[in-house]
Amino acid sequence: MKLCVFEDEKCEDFYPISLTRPVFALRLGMEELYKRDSRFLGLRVERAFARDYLVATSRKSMGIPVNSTEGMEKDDWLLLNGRSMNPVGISVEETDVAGMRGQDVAFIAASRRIVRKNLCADFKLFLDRLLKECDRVEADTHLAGHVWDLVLRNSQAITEDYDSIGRRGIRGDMADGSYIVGEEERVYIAPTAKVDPLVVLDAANGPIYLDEGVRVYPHTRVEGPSYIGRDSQLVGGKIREGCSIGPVCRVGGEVEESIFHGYSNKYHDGFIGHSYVGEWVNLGALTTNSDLKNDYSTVQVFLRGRPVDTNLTKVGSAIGDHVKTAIGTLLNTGTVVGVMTIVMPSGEVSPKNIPSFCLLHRNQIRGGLGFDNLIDTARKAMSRRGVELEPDDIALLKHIYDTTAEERESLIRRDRRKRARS
Amino acid sequence: MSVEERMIKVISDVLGVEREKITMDAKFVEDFGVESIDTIELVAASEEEFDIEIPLEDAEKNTTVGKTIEYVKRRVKAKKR
Repeated sequence: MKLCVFEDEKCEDFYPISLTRPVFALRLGMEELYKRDSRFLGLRVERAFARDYLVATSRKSMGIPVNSTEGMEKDDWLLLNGRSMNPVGISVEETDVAGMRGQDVAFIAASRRIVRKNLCADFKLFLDRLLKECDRVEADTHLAGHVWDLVLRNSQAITEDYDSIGRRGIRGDMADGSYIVGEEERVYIAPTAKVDPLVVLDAANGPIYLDEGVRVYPHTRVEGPSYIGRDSQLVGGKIREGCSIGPVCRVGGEVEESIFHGYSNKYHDGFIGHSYVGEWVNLGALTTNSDLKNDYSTVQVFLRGRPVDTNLTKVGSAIGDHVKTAIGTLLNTGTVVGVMTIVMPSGEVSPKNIPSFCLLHRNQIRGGLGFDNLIDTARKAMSRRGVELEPDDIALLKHIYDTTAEERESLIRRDRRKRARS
Repeated sequence: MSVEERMIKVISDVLGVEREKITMDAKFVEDFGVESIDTIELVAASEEEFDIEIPLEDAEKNTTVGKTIEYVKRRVKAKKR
């Protein structure tokens, strides 16, 4: 059986993080969702279906056909919803079964026979046809509904991943004067990772995994469960439980129960908690987010311009790719910052809905620096890490720039009216 | 006050430059040492003074005081239409 991951219509509920990537490429635990699926199921992902504008970049990053049903009639397929957070309950032996979570298709295990019979170029139609041919069962797998579901589950996911991957112990360089609290078996230091003196790795409440090339500088305390990705640096401070730091990040200050995608920096002091941070983000010194309201009421988050009650009391920020915050930025509880936006501090907490490609200045949303200027800046930032911004990346960002224009311009006009009245 | 006089006051207030130094051919970067943060402040103050919208990429193209004042005049005129 071959594995295929797909996005359903709820992928937009993960904005702004899913603006720049398919929902199955969001990170949870130690990896992107589709890589976890593959590991837990023991199947290689060989096909993916995503929104059309993501095809070129996804094909490149995943190295498999995306949005193509060509040749699928030759095999049995497990079609897995890309929002799946734990596909362990799925049997790869049974076919012609559809696992449901309420009205959502969690997976379809389809035999070659029904694949061949129902295959068509329109993936949604293909899925609907298969669904009619399958026995429906209640799926054990949990589907994330929003970004905050991933954050909430991250500690558990790191522990699951640690146990599943099975690497243990100190394989890299751990300096004298650095300490492990708890069992050494609950810490993995990869062969090329380096831990300096005056570092505490506290694995008493969960495992800690330091991947290849990680460097942990003095005066850093890491609490498990935590995962620090390839070539990332921890530059002093507290990495509290439930943190997943993607590859090539530089993180300091205080971070708690947060997920960072790759190449993002939060080098200096300041608190980030219960947050989800995209790729190529730079959080300026003292950038801090609130993740708990003073009245302990549940946090509302803006999704596509409308407030949604998370039913959670602890929710931080969702920060899109290429966002930059200036020094001293204060992000309100449940703030959403769109792709490529620049946030400048005002001394007040930010508004909760900051759209893509704009500038927050004096706590008011203004037109940004312009698409071409932002691309130039991204190109410079990426070249500092030896990565090239390619035409497919620019085309993707331009698509997002165009499709988010209406919301952005509406909020710019609203804040202009506010200014005129004051 | 004319648009020109109001704009000179905005530039003087935001950049802390004496009014007599704000000539039409004065260059923001070379003569006043303007950086990107100053441009953002200048745009914000101009937008508030005239209740107009100025895209930052436009502002960056207006490298002199004269060009900026002409640009603002056009935006103010367009708004009145």
